[in-house]
Amino acid sequence: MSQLGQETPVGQIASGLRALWEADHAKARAALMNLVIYAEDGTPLEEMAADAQTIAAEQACRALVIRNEPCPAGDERPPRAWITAHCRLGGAGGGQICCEQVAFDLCAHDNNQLRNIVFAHLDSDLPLVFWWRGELSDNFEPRLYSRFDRLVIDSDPWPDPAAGIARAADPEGAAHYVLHDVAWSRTHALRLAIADCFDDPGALGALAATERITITHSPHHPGAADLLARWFARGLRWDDLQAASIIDRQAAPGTPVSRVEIACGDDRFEVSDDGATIACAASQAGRETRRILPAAPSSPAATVGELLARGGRNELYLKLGLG
Amino acid sequence: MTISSDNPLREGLRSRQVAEACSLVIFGATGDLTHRKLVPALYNLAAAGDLPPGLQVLGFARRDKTDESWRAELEESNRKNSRGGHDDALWASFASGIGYHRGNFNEPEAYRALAGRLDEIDARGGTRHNRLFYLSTAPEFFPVVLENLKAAGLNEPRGGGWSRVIVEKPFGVDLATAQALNGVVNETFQEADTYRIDHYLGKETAQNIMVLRFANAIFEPLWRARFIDQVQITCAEHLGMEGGRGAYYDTAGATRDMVQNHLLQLLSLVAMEPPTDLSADSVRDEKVKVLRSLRPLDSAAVGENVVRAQYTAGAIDGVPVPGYREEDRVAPDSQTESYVAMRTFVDNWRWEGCPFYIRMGKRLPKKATEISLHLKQPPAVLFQKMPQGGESNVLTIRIQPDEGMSVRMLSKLPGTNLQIEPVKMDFRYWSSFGKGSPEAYERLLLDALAGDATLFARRDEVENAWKFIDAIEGAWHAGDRPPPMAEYPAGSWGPTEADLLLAERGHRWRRL
Ligand SMILES: NC(=O)c1ccc[n+]([C@@H]2O[C@H](COP(=O)([O-])OP(=O)(O)OC[C@H]3O[C@@H](n4cnc5c(N)ncnc54)[C@H](OP(=O)(O)O)[C@@H]3O)[C@@H](O)[C@H]2O)c1
Repeated sequence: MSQLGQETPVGQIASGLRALWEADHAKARAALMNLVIYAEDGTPLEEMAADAQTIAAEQACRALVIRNEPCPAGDERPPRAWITAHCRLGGAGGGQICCEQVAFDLCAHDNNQLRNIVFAHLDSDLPLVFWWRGELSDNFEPRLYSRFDRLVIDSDPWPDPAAGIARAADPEGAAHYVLHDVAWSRTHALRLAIADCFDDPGALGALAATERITITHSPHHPGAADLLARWFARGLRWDDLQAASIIDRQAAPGTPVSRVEIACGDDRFEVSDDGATIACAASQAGRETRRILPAAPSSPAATVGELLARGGRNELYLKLGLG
Repeated sequence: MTISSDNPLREGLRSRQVAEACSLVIFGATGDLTHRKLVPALYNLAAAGDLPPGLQVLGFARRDKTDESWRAELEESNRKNSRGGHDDALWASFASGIGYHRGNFNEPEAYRALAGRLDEIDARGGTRHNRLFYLSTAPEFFPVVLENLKAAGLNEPRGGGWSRVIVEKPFGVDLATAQALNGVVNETFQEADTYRIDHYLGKETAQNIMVLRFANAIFEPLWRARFIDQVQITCAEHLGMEGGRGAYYDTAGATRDMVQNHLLQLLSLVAMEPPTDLSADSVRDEKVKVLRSLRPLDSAAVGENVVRAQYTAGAIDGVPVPGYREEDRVAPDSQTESYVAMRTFVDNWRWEGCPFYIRMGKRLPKKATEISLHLKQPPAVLFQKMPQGGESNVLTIRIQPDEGMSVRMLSKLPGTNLQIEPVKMDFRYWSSFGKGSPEAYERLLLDALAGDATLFARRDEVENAWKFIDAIEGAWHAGDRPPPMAEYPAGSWGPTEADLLLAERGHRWRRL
């Protein structure tokens, strides 16, 4: 048996899963959602299965992990599938709680196979969360995405994030799912820490007089820095010109966004993320304060788990003028 | 000073009111509640990034301690009691805002010194003149602490800040004492600044009752006497009087200790009408209407509708345990009930004729607090005519420890015969969500910091609940012919009299 579990003919997945449960009555099955993790970029199935496990530890789900290597007509091969369960110990002496996972390896030349594989293996009535890893392809088409409740993307590594986000946000002008961008969710803990600095009316006054904002980001995460810059510009009602003259972005090795410094006259606010904690330091009206907050989740899977736990409609993201 | 709602960077970040920085003074700093619940709750809020920046915690008690020695004690107990573990860096950051203030509750000078210290903290900035006083002391000290706070001027908001008080349970021992205490509280703090803790309201499933009822079309239309035959609220504890708790318990009993506050709060949430909005007062207006609609009990009615009992020697977890009157610090001729069961009615349009059964007992077989709504039977034709038809639908809300809910329904057994058996659809928080629910005290402390009193008891709620309970206590302890004290063996599900109480209307206690 591979890390992905037991290989099972696609036509026998339902009975294979049933047999899995019948074999061990001590385990309880749980699912709050269908979670599809999908990649066409060659990401190994094992890596995606590990991501599914990370998410399932916090959010019970039926996970469909799908690797699709589109192939030219005539070269298609039949899909392969593996079934397994991710288990954890429930609290309150509750025994083992398990989430089903079905992994698929596809080689399809059109989108019929993908659509059919997804639709045929959903747990009915549960919401469908679709995490599309990598750039959207032609397989992202209305008959598939019309069934989504949430679409998760990560625009950070995309060469043209704006175009990709526009496509993900409103395909055919009929999007009804909630769009989440890992690049944006990555900045959640930082944004909270920054917002905390300005609840105090004195500090808020200083914010209005912001002269310089420096965002230090990793070279691999320019998108997260861009989204943060747009967030400041929206909050402080700056036009593009003002934003460009006030916000400075610097690439340096480290966490996706390792530091945000805000200078407002004599006042300084600095929020930094070293991967272990977020530190907030403020020097405002002659008073120095410092505090430590929990760090942002480090992996994309943990970020997705956290955004799912938060729920909501993620409306602000769509107002950032991207897409 | 309240939080600036104009902070443009808050948009979209939180769906709840934001907790505000303040000085939090805990009276009873060295006590059990502070160590086991309050400080771990604050630490977990800090670890989740939910505490406002600038929060200062100041402990007040008699013992001689320094800021450092108190912090060290709290750190040790936090390691043991924190729900989400203990991280040294996060603790160090959180603990840098913790200090200790030595003083006696009845010593005005100690409060003047406290006021000076709070002024110093405010002068350093960050707390914005906001103060939250937590009375985590034995209830006899509530008045003296409140009076001294007032004498030192600490009750008055100043410098644009606010001044709030959190009062622990028990809130009075009857209506008269509750009214007297409310008098002192309201002479010291505005009602809007008074937060009376009922930690049951901070529990995840208690908060979910309103969502379940008013966000689900499947339940809302059924939630009335027309479709519901009876409602049961059970609070079972397997513990007895370990650790000297008999001293307090024997002065209170099951009814005062649990029914007056927690169980009547649960009953109000189950029975209330939809509030006009989700503001603290709209919700509490509806809850208090339920308490005012409880059918009053005179002495005769108490005898007919309420059963009190004490446990006799028995076994818990297979180990023999003594009877209530043999327990440590319990009077051998005690007339305090360790168990109470009652049938009550909410005399309003929605609930006319539907009995609400409440039971609470010590030394029952297991620990569980649950609410169940038993639906009426469908017409007695077709399947209901069949002998095994039985009670068809029960909706259960499990408050603790196994938080969740379930629906019981009848279903055909597989096979060629027509056999009908009950099946259960179950939702358990712990199986669907890996992260545990926050402790009730986390939610409640955060709400008090944010100025949201929805999950705290208002004065009229407390007093109306006492009014109802006083009639029962009066019949038991001041009546000419008090109803007898029943008995049940420790480890059983209570006295036979409680079973008979339900049998009168053809009902049975739910098996937990
Ligand atoms: N413990 C729980 O699990 C729990 C649960 C629910 C509700 N509650 C309620 O919470 C409150 C506190 O309970 P607890 O169990 O923490 O009580 P506790 O352990 O007895 O603590 C009492 C505290 O009051 C202080 N104190 C007593 N007399 C004082 C005086 N004259 N001057 C200054 N400080 C004085 C004590 O400190 P020094 O001795 O150092 O002065 C100690 O810090 C009570 O209302 C209780 O009903 C407790």
